[in-house]
Amino acid sequence: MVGFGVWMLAVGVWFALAAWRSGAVPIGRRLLKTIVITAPMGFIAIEAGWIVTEVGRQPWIIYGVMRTADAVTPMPGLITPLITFSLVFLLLGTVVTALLVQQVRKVR
Amino acid sequence: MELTVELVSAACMLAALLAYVLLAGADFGAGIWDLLATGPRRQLQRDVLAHSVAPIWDTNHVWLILVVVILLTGFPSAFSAIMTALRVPVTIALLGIVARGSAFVFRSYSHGNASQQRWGSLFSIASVVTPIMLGVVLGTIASGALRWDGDTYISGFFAPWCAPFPWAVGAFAVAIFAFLAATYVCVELLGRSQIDPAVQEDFRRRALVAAAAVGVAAAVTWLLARSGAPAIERNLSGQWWKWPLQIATAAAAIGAIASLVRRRYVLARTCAVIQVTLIVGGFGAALFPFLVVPDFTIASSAAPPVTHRLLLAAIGLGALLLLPSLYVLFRVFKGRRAFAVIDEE
Repeated sequence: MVGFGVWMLAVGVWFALAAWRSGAVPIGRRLLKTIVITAPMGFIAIEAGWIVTEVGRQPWIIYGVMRTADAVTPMPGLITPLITFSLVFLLLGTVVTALLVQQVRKVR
Repeated sequence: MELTVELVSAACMLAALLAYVLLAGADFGAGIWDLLATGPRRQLQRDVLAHSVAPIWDTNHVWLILVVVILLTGFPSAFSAIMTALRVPVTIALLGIVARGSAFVFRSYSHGNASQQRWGSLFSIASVVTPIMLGVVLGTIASGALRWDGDTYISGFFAPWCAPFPWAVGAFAVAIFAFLAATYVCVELLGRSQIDPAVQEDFRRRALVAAAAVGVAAAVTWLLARSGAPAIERNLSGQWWKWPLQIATAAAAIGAIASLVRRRYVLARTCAVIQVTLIVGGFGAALFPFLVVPDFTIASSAAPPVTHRLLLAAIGLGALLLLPSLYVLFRVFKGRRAFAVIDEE
């Protein structure tokens, strides 16, 4: 997560320098390829950050105050909402991807 | 009655609920009319509805968030009771809100009639299901069927809300939202000569039908309250303001219908807003001093006073930012009639 952050910062500086030197939007192949590789890193870093805080905090839900086991709802059948919400996220993710692909194709 | 900080927080919560009903309610109503679009101008009706809600409907959810945040921060045990024991209807409402938002966006980005229609129907079905569930939640907390023995929710996770009264409140909510939406759209179409004037007539008829539906739903809810929400019924019966409130609400309803008949749409909107304000205010007054009948009152579920003082300070500061922004938003996207009260001559 931290590595990706530093990497993205470096790519940003590289881009800014290249733009400043050429006085235009830089179109060097090496830079553009690096930007393509860098694109998903922000998302991965965000997810990694969440995993660090959520998993790293266990077994506490509020560090030092309340355990996750004591905070869980008394409602039975929690598997149902788990499956429902997983499916919803899967569906939304699929649709967003499909629509993005469609938009990109339209532009090309 | 002593004025305490938690009472002020509860009043803010009711005000936020009212704003949600008046603003987001109309957006749900637009979805309901999208589902019920009929006749030769069906597509035009849908376009007008989409155009009316598009710039503002996301913002209108800020009021629901405010209700939930005040409940969570200020009245944690009542929050816990509602979110745990009413998990099923709350989850369905949440799924409906998510489905509505994404379907609305997906519809405008997708190509081809078939896929647009598919997203359109998901949008409109979610627009009906969500208000029903929100009404069911409000109906259940008023019914007294949700019971907490200090340790567990002894009434279970289905029985409290699987009763006629909560569903009547759900239907009442749908009728109110449809009524508000149709009335607002009539104002929206004023002076828009490039759009077929027959569409405005369509929505005028819809507003009148919805006004009648609000009346029927109110009567049914009222009748069911005797057996379905006895505490509310008892609470109301001794109050001096019971009949004045009823008469004022009925007068506003008649005013809205008369204005619609005479095509004075801005006045109709004003009457509709007064009518719905009295209904929501009446609900709050009838529920008082409870948040969840009968085990959680405002006082018994309140967080310590210091929490409420901080909460109220945050609400005050937030309002300084939010209210001017909302004013600009509505003024920009809804034009000079955004805050008009009566029709121009």
